[in-house]
Amino acid sequence: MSLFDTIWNWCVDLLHNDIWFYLITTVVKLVLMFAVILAFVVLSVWIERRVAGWIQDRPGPNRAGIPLQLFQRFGSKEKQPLKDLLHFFGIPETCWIAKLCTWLRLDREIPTFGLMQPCLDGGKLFLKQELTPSYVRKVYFTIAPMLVLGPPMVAAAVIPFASSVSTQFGEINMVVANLAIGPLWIFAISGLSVYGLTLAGWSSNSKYPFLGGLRATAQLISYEVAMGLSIIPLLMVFSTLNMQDIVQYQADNGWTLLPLWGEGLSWQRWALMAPLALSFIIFVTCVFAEANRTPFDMAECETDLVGGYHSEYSSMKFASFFMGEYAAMVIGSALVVTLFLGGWSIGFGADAALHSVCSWLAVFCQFIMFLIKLVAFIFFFVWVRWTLPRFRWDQVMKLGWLVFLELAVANIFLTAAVLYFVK
Amino acid sequence: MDPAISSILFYLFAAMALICACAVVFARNPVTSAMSMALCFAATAALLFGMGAQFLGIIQIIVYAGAILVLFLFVVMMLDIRTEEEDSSFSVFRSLIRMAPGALVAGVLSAMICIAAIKLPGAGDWQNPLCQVCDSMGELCIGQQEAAAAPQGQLPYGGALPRLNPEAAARVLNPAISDSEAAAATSIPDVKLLGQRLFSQYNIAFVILSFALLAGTVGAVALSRKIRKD
Amino acid sequence: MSYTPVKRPKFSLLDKIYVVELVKGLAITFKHLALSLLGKSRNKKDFNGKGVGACMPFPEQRWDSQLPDYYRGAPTLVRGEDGRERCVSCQLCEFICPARAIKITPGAVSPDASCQKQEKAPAEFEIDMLRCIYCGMCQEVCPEQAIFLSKEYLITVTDRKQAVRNKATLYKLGGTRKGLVNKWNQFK
Repeated sequence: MSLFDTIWNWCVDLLHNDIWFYLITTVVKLVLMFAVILAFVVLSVWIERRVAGWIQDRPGPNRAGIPLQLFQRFGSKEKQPLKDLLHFFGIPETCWIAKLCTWLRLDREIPTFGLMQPCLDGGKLFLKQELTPSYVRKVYFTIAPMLVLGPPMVAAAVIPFASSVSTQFGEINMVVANLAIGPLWIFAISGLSVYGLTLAGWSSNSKYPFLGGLRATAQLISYEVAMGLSIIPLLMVFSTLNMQDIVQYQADNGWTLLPLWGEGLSWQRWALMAPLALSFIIFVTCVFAEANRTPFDMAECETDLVGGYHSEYSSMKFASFFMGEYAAMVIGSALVVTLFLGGWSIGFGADAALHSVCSWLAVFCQFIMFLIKLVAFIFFFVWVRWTLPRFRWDQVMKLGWLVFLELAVANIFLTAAVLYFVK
Repeated sequence: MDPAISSILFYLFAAMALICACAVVFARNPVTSAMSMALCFAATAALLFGMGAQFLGIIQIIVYAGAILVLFLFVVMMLDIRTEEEDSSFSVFRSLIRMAPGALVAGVLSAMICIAAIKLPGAGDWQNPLCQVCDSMGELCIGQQEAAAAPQGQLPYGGALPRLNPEAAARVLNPAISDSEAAAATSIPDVKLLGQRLFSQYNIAFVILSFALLAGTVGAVALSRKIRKD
Repeated sequence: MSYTPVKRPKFSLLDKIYVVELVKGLAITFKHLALSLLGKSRNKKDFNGKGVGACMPFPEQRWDSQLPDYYRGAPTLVRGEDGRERCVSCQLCEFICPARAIKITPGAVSPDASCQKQEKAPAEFEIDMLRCIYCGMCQEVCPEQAIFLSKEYLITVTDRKQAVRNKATLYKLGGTRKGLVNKWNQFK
């Protein structure tokens, strides 16, 4: 028996053990989910800046190409640094290395369409001098950025990114934690990031950050109420809290907002559209408010609060706030996609058809579909940001408590009536 | 999960909850107190998770850690906490006296809870497995088969921690369920169980409580509202 | 105190619901997005833009040829048509400069100068380009029309010392200026 066979058998034995199978698959899913979220944080910064540019008739960040700058170190500042580089190493210009470099377009800047820009910005922030003012409360000042960045990452655990696959070792459910309380988990954990904002504002020991912290606290609490109430109609339709089941239901019976197949073809299902659309509007607005995005970015409103709760922060601590905001945006988008736009489901019964062909193919397609939907919704987030002006503080509070709360409660009764009388 | 791991996690989180609860009382900085209280709630939620009561755990986080405590923090932040921190007249004796009323109230409350727990039918008999206690109450059946199968003379709660039993929970939810279906239940539908209990058996109490809360809210609004003279 | 009441527009219920207006706004921004992606942004021709949006990608394309006459770039010293140093070192620009960028060391008029009527001439004339705010006050105040703001806007240095321009550099950048200043004319 060869060494390869031995290792293979050992792996198979390991996977046949339930606990090891569970551990290994969970770790793989965890790493994948984490990588996707972090990549999307970077990507959403890029989307934000590019789309902002396009909307304002600018190109946005489109430079930051890769190698030209590197080669200029070696060569001169001439137009073709590759030639000089080759000359420097004594390589003739006709040999295959030179041709390969030319084919790889190393003789000029590799276009990255500005994708490198957020990475370079991150590098810059990482290398910047860390400045902690002397008057801050050090302990809370340090843990506040962690409390902002951490919760969205943890909250992502319950978002399903594909359906389940049964292998010879057991079933793999493509969600890190298949909890029976999916949406509540996200509300609870992402609601904890308010501590980060509050503590950052308080520990800075300075006027404007403090006001920013207060605003953030008040806003997040207010909109959490309406947000929680707005999805109750949805849960009444799904009658489950498990995210994987919710998406499976949508794959079988039509997405919440696009019931065009399965059970969704009946007129009763269409009668439910009114309350569901209403709860979509409320929910999406609340997600905007929870993610502290324009038009609800009261906590860091530059015109009246300098930089809001992160005025006193610099370097990587500031970057944590920045990334936390975008991570919250990614998680919010993922939640909206999962609850209202069918999550990973491809739609029109394609999921079941693909599963009958090859379940791994189905999972792959679903994962891609999920990412596409995610990008589309992140685009929507950005689009709204560059369209709407910021609300006034009293308007934000009024909207939360006097409009959305009442609407959400009324919507629950409306849904109940529709479910009772129509079905 | 492995009983040993769940025991370790239980003791870990229980210890964390206790330590944080003490920190709430002893911390001089009110913000530290509030934050330890949040950690205490989180640890309690983790304990509930460990017992399989996911819904209760998450509600604990949403309601207490996510909403009520943030409001606490909101108020505490606006206090001038330096005066408290730099209180020069600190003495052990005085602080003990200050704590005494609180300790008295807390002691009476915990004594009441202990008495109530002991007064449960069958709980006074230390040899009685926990599952029988619950069975005799006809309630959610916290007991588990492992406990029932424990050898005679061995305390069931000395070993594996009592966890909710999915099979029994499924039977409570739907009495007409077949045996095979009940046995196939893997997780506890605690949201459904709770909803069913709350809106059938305890509906009147629930509604009365809601009205009390509503009255409180209306009262708060009425008190805080400014009456315009013009 | 007199005041003018601001007329607030009356909002209809539809306006107050906000959703329709929101969709209208989104449509406008999306139109801009689509047009700039297609390279057909409004005002593109006026701005002489290339590629995405109405902008010019800067280092490759420049606006230089279309800079207006009143453009205020780096200040320079000029010579007259006859090659005479116009500056007489009166130091008015040094006093007026709000950023204190100018530093003049007055000296005697050099014996080989074409005109010997002035009392002084700058021995050294330094402008710190890190301080200059391009306000143009020096140009405004100069009684000799000796200092002018050029259209130069690309001032890049790798060292603080490089940012200080001395007299020779300033005269080199300024060149000669047409238009007679008759003040020191031989006939007067």
